[in-house]
Amino acid sequence: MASVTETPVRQLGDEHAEWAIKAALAAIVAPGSFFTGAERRAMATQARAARGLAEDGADLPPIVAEAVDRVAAEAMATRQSHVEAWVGSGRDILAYVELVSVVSQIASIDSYRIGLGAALDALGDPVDGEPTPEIAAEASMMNAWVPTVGVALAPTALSALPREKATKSALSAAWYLTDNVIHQYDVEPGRELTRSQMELVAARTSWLNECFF
Amino acid sequence: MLRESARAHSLPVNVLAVTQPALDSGVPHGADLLAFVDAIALLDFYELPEARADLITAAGAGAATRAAAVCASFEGINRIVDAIGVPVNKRFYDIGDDLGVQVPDHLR
Repeated sequence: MASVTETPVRQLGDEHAEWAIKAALAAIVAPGSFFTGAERRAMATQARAARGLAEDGADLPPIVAEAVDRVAAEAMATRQSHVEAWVGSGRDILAYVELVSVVSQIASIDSYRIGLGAALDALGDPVDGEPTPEIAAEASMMNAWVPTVGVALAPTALSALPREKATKSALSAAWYLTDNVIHQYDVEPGRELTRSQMELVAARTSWLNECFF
Repeated sequence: MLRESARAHSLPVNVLAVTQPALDSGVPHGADLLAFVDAIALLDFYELPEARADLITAAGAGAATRAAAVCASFEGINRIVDAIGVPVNKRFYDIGDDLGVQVPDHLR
C-alpha cells in the first residue's frame, strides 16, 4: 500500500468543498438505488485497494469487484462489452451507473486529500435500509453505453440516477465549476486560479488518466 | 477545454505543454501546476510534498488548494465518462491531432 500520510498542510482547504465532501461520504455509506449502504461502502473500500490506497479490499461478488477495480484503476480500459457482461449477469444497467458513481466519488475525494497532504477520510458505518430506486423517468439510451437524460456529456453522465448526479454535481461545483458553465469557456469563475490555469490542471489530469474528455 | 477557454479569453496558450510539460504552457505558474498535478494523479508520494511546496511558494495556498480540487474533480469525471462510454465530441478530434494522439475507436 502506498504511504498517504504526510504532515498536514494546515493552510490548505476549502469550506465549500468540505460540505460537499461530507455529504458525498454520507451518501456513499447510505442505501442507494440498487445497493445497500454496506455494499456501497464495500465498493468504496475495494476502490481504495485497487488504487493501492488501502491494504485490503472488500468481499464483493466477482463481477462487482472486477468492475470496481477497473473503474478505480483503469477506467480507460472499459469497453461496451464490460457493460453488456454486467447486464448479462442479470444486474440492472443502472446498478452499474451507481457503481461508477460511488467509485468515482471516493477516487476524487481521496485525490483531493492526497493533494492537500491530508489523511484519507474514514468511511462511516453503513446506514441500514434497503435500496430505494430513484430513477429519472426520462432516461433513455442516447450516445453512451448506459441510459442518460439527454445527450451524454460529463454533466449528464449520471443523470439517470438523480441522487448520484446531485452528489457528483455538488463536488464538481465546489472543486471546479458548476455543471451549467463547464462548456461556457468565456466564464471566469473568480477563484484562486484563472480559468486557463484550472483547465491546464484538468487537461493534464485527463492526459495522465488517458481520458479524452 | 484549455484551448477553448484560452481562445475565449484571448490568451496565448501552448496546449502541447499538456503532453510535453517541459514546454512553456504560457499559463501563469504552469510548470508548478503541472508538477503538482502529476504528483497527485500518479500517486507519487515522493515528489508530492516538494511539488506542493513549490506551488504554494509560487502562487499561494489558495492556488494549491484549487489545483488539488480541480485535479480531484477530473479524477472523478475521467472515470465516469470512460466507464459509461461518453463519446468524444467530434469538434475536439483535432486537439488529439495537435497533441499527437488519436481518439480511440470505441469513443468515436
